[in-house]
Amino acid sequence: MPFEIVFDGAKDFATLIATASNLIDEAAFKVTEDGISMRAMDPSRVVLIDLNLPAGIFSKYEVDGEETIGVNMDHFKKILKRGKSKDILVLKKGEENFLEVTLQGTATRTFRLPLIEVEELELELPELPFTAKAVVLGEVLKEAVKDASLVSDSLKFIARENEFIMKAEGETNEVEIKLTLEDEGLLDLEVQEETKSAYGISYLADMVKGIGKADEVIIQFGNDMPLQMDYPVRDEGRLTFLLAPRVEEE
Amino acid sequence: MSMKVEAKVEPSHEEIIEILDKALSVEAIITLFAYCRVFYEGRAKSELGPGDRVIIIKPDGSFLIHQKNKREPVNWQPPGSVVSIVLEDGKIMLRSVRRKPKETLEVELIKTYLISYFQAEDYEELALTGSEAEMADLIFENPSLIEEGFKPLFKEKPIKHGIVDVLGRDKHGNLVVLELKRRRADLHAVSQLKRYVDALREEHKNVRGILVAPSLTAGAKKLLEKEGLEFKKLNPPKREKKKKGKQKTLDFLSP
Repeated sequence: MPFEIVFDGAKDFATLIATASNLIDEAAFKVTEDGISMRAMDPSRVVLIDLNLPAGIFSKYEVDGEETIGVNMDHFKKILKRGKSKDILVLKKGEENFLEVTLQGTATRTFRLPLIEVEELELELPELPFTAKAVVLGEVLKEAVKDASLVSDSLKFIARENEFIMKAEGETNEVEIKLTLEDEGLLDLEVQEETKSAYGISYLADMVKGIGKADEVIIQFGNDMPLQMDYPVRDEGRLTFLLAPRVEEE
Repeated sequence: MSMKVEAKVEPSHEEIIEILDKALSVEAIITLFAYCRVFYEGRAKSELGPGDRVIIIKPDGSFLIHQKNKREPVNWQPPGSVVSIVLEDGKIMLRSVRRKPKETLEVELIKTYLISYFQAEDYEELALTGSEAEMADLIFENPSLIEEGFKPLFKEKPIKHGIVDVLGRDKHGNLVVLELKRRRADLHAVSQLKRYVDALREEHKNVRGILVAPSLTAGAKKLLEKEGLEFKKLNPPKREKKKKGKQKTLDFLSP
């Protein structure tokens, strides 16, 4: 099924794909009349990625029927990286098994990316009984992950009635990032019970790479439960990660 | 007869062979300073033109050629390689052969400035837990581990004849030297302590010396008593293993 999709701001799209490509090697994008979606699990089965880009965020969206295209994420990322922020991105597929990636700027540059067979992940994003929800600025999360990576390889999230804390403890050093609703960085906090859970820094680092500093990121987690992180893509779109916890053994 | 260390400056070919043979038979570390050329053949082929280098041959077969800069050797063979000496047309070569994959390293010793061997005895593994520094920290946090009223003053205090692990005072005002050992203390530890105590006694009146270790050898105990020194049993602290947490997966989601 042929399609032609146009996105203004090639760089933003590149960031999105780059973020996902840190965690997965290949992905199956489902292109329907409503939009593009992709769901994949990283090879270690620790992170689930769920990308949802409704037709509305694209400046042109011509899709007939439904089509799933398999893409090598590394190649796709490298091509998209060639785009500048003012470039217009055109994704086009004809009858052949190629994705045409066009970057329109001072010149029109067209890449042809061969499509591959990728098995679709037959898995819905589960509804988990999270007990804490925090809405933070992207910047806070990005900095917290960088801070924590100096001292440890895991980051503990703690939510209490009036505060949201991220804490990392290393052999000798420690860091604590504390937010209350007084802070600019914490936009909302809903806590059903005091909640604590730890997550691997390397996964978090990959997850936050594509977040804009001013993005509102929704974090939901439970005691020793996965962490769900949602952030908006051009308002209507959404990139969701579900990250399995690190659990201390007794 | 082989000695602990033997070295020969500007050895002749005969002396090189003699020392190498001896060193290989007693499993010593061999070190050469030489102006040499290096040939390597194996997964690739290379030749390193003549230059001054340090060659180290370890008893396990490790063969290292170091140039004057950089951390890593310029050429090397791993443990398990076999070294031999080759005399060819008046030239002397060291050859180190690795079986699998087949790799041969040959060093033509054009001029040898020094050859030495060292019968090294070393049974320690790199141990990161419970070092003496951590014992010192433990004592500073909890001085009564040594005795009631003990007051630690300095850690790693330099004195005339070395560095004292911990220097403090007891409740009577005596100066106390602590020598810390994380393993069973031997004679060497006692004489070390005695040296520090003697040095301090030159300037201070009342000096006590305490050897702090998990245990003592019989010889050390005897010498300690003879010298009027004391022993305090203390185990190095076990470093608390940070609970890292086990990474879970999302497998529970799968149908």
